[in-house]
Amino acid sequence: MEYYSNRTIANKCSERAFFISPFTTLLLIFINTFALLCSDFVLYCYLLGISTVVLLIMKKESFLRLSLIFIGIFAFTYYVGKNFDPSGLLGSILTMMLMALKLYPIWILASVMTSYSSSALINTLRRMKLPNNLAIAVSIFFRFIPEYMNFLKEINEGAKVRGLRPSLKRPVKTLETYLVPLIFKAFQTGDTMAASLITKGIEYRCEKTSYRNVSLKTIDFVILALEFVGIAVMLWIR
Amino acid sequence: MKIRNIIITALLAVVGFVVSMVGGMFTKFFGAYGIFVHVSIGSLLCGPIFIAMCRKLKTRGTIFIYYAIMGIVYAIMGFIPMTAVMVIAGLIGEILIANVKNYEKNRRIGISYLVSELIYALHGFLLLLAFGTEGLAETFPNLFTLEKAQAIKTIFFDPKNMTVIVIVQIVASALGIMLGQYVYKKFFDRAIKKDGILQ
Repeated sequence: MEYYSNRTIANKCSERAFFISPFTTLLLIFINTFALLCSDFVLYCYLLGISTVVLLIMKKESFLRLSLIFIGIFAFTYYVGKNFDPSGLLGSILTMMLMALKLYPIWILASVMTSYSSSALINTLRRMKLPNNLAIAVSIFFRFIPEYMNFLKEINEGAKVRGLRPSLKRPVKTLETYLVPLIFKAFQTGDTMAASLITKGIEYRCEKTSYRNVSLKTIDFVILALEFVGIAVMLWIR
Repeated sequence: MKIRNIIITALLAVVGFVVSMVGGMFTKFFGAYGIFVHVSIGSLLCGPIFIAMCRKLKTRGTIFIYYAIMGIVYAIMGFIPMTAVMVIAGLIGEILIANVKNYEKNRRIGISYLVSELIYALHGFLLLLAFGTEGLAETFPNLFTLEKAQAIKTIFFDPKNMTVIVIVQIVASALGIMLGQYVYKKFFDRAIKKDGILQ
């Protein structure tokens, strides 16, 4: 069996041919937030395209799922907008769907954010001069969103086996079934993780380094250039 | 603040975020009345998380970090002005707790939660105050037309509507806290006693 040191494994992960730095993804989210608010259809498609490229590079396995969701939302808004009077409940759902469509490029990038390892995220946020505590908290948040979604599914499966189903007639019982295990899990994971991080010296006051290389590379510059130049050209033409 | 507490706060923020998302979906069933219960369902459901977090961690800064994380997540989802609202909610919540000993007092935690969630619930109103109708339409041209911004202003600046929003929010937060106390007593207090058998 081939032996890899920790550094080799880390470098294999972060220095593969197409690894987009978390800093680039965060910057794209920030730029897209403002660009989308004043975008027309062409600029929207362009930003969606760039987000999709980042998704294909970093989280290929989610491409099909996210594409299907997009198509579903688009089809719903198109069909309802054409055939129904959007008022009341339907209007409210339609507004929500339109907002989801509008912010979809950002949500794709947010999904990419969950694919980074905690150490890569912490390292990036530290380099952005975010306070250490907040950097740890934010990176843990992103790392554990998919984890807790899966855990919620597990709780649901467990409840089904025990014959428990969510019911509006017994809201407190339903809440106990689903919420309490999640809170317990948070405390349990927190204890384990804190022990692990303290052992690795996270609390030691010194300049922190990381095995994860999150510095900007050619691909980052290419993507950022495409983003900036695309937005500038489209705004100039308009 | 200890690293353990920061990690647990972040993880509870994940739980709160997931629960708020689920609660937010339900508000759509209220149709046009959804604006009155926009945050309320989330406040009701997140009460147990907040109580468990404050009672178990008992550390200054917990409430601020909880709301700040939510704010950062809003920013990443494309709602950057919400970050300021959430940071203010967290700061005021933290100030209202006042003392580290108050993290054990349900009433003080309740007041802190109630006020922070009220600020969160009034984010539309606060943003309207900050930007104005024209500013809102200019800053977010694709989300708000001038007419839509004015319609929102009409809703928020009508004393009756505002009273309903505030009352619904306060009732939901109070129920959330009561639910939180019930859940805490039933599940978490007992766990502490079991753990303490060797102490």
